[in-house]
Amino acid sequence: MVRIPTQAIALLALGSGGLVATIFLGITWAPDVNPSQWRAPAAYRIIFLHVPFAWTSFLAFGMLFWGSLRWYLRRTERSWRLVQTGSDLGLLFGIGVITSGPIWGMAEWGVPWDWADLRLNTFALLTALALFIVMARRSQPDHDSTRDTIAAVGLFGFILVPITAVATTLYQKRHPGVVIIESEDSGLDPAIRAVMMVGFISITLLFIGFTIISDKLYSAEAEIELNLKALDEMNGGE
Amino acid sequence: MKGTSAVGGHVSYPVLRIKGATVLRGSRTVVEDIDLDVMCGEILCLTGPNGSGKSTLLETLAGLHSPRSGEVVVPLPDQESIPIRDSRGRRTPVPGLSIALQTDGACLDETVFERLKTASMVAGKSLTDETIYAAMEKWALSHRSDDRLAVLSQGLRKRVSILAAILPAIQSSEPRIVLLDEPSEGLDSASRDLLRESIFSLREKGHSVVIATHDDAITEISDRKVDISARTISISGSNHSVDDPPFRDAVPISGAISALGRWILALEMRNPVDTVQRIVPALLALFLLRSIGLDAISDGAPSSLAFYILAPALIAILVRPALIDRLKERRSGDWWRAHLGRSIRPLSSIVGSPWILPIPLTYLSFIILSNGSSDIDPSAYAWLWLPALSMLDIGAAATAIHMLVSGFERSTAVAASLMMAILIWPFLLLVDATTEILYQGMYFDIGFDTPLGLIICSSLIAASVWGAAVIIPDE
Repeated sequence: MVRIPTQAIALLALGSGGLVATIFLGITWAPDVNPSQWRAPAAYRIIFLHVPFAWTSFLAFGMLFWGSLRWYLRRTERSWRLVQTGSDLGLLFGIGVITSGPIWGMAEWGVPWDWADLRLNTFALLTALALFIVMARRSQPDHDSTRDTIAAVGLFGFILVPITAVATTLYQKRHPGVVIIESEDSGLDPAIRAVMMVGFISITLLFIGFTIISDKLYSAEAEIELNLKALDEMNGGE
Repeated sequence: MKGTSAVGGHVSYPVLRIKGATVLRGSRTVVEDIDLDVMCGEILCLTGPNGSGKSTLLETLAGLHSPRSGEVVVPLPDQESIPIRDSRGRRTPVPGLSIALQTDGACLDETVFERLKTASMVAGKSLTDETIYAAMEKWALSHRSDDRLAVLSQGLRKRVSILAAILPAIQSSEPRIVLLDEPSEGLDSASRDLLRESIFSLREKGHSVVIATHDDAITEISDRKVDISARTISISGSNHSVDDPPFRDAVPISGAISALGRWILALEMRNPVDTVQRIVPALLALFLLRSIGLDAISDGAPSSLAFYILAPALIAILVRPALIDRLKERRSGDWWRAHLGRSIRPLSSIVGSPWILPIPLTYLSFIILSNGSSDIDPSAYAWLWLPALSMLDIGAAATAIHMLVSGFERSTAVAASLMMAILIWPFLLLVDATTEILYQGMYFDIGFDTPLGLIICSSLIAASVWGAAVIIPDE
C-alpha cells in the first residue's frame, strides 16, 4: 500500500480550507469594483480563483518543461515523473483557468471567448497540449520512444509560455493586463488584495500537496511495473 | 591502422561498427552492451531463434533503432567515425546502404519497375531502364514490370524487395553495405539459388552483406556467423580480407530526396486518395455554407466572409494525409528512414502537403460566397491567392503534426486534433489579412494590421509549429 506523506495531506487540508475561505470572502467581503470602468463589476470576483489557477498552471507547465528537458539530458525516472506530474497538474489547473475565464468573459464582454486575443488562445493551446500529453501517456505503451516524443511535445508546449506572457503586454486586446501589478499602481482595495493573497496561498498549497502525492504515486507505479516485469521474466515471458 | 585486422597478408576493414550498444524493443532489452564490426567484403549472417533479435540487430545497423546506450558508427581510417545512430539522438544515413526489410518495405501501389528505379535512385545509382529490365529478366520479374506490388504474390514481392536491395550494389564499383532480412523466406528453390549466387557475386565485388536468417543454406556461405542468444552475441568464423580499404565519403542524399518526391507524386497520380479525401469535406463544407444562405454570411462581422472563404481550404489541409498510410504500408516508411535518416519527416511533411488545393478552393469559395457584394474591393480578386498560398505553410505544419502523431506505437489512440488546435491561430491571422484585402484592397505596408504583416506572422507561426513537429525524434 502506498503511504501518502502526512505533510501532503496537511497541505491539501490547508489549501482546501483556504480555497473555501477565498470563495466565501470573495463573495461576501470583497467590494465591487468601479462600475464606471467595468461592465460587470461583481463578476470580477472570479479572479480570486482564475488568477491563482493561472499561476499554478504556469508552475505545472514549468515542471513539465523541466522534466521534459531533463528526460532528454538524463533519461531518469525522476525526470519522467516530473513530466507526468507537470502534465497532470497543468491540465487540472489549466482547465480551472479556461473554464473560469469564459464565465467572466460572458459577463464582461458578452461573449465567452475572444478568438483575437493571443493570450487567451495560447493558454487554451497549452491546456490542449497538456491534455494531449496526458492522453498519450495513458494510451501508449510506456517505452523510451514514447517518452521521447511526449517529452518533445512538452518542450514545444513550453515555448508557448513566453509567447503567452509577451501577449499580455504586446498583443493585448481584451484580456485585462497583469492584475496585481496594474492594481498596485492604481491603488488596489486592501480587501481585494487580501482575498487575492488568500486565494494565491491556498491554491499554491493545493498545488504543492498534489505534486507530492502525484510524485509518490507515480514512483510507486514505476516500482510496481518493475516488479511485474521481473515476475514476467521469472515466468518465462519477455 | 585503427580498427583494421590483418589476415594472411591482406587486411580486413570494418565498414560498420556497433560499440557497446544496448537495444530495446518496447520495454524488452534485445541485446545488451554488444560490440560488432561488419567487415568490408564479407558475408555476415545473424542467426538465432525466433524473437532473439536478428531483425532488430540488422535494423540497428541500418540506424532504424536508437540504442539505449552505445552507438552505431561508420569507422573511417585516420578520421573521426560517422555516427549512424547513438543514444544521444545523433543520426546519419549509412553511406552506401541498401536494405531489404522482412516485410517488403514498399507501398503496394508501386509497380515493380518503379520500385527498382526508386531503389536505384535512392542508392545514388540512377540505372538505365535497360539495366533494370535486364535484372528483372534474370529474376523472372520482367513480365510483371508494370504491375503494382499489390497484385503480386508474397514470393514475387520478396523477389522485388531483394532485387531492389542488391541491384544498386551489383551495378556499383564502390563497396556498399547490403542488409537482407530473411531474404530466402517465401522464395522458390530457383530463386533461392539465384539469391545465393547473387550474394556470392556481391562479395566478389567487395560489398559487405549482412543477412538475418534461419536458413542453413544461407548461413553456410557466410564468412562469419553472429549467434544472438540471451541478449548477447557470439561470433564465429574468420574475417574476410580485402586488398584495398573501402571508399567512404560524405553521405549524398540528394538522389534519395528527389526519389522521395517522385515516389509521392507517382503514387498520388496513380491513386489520388489524398486529393479526394481532402477535397470532398472541403466541397461539402462549401456547399453547406452556400446552403445556409448568402445573406446570413454577409450579415455577420466583416471578417465573417473572409472566414467562410478560407474555411474550405483549412478543412482540406487539416485532413490526415494519405502519405502516412503509404509510409506505414508494409513498412515502406522504415525503408525510406533507413536511407534518408532524420530527413524523412521534414521532407515528406513538405512534399506530402496538399500543394494544389488551397488556391483553387479559396477562389471557388470566393466566387460562390461573395455574391458580387459591392463592399468588396474590385482588386481583391487579384490578391486572394496570397493568403491562400500562405495556407500551404499551415498545411505543411498540419502534415508534420499528423506524422508526429503517427509515430506513436498506437497512433489511433492519440488525439492529433489537440495539437492541431494550434493552427487555428495562424489561420485567424490569415482571416484578418483576407478581410483587409477584401474590404481595403491589397496594399504593401508592413505592420501587425496590414495584409502582408499578418500573412508573414501567420507563416512564421506555421513554420515554428512545423519546425517543432519535425525536430521531434521519430523513435
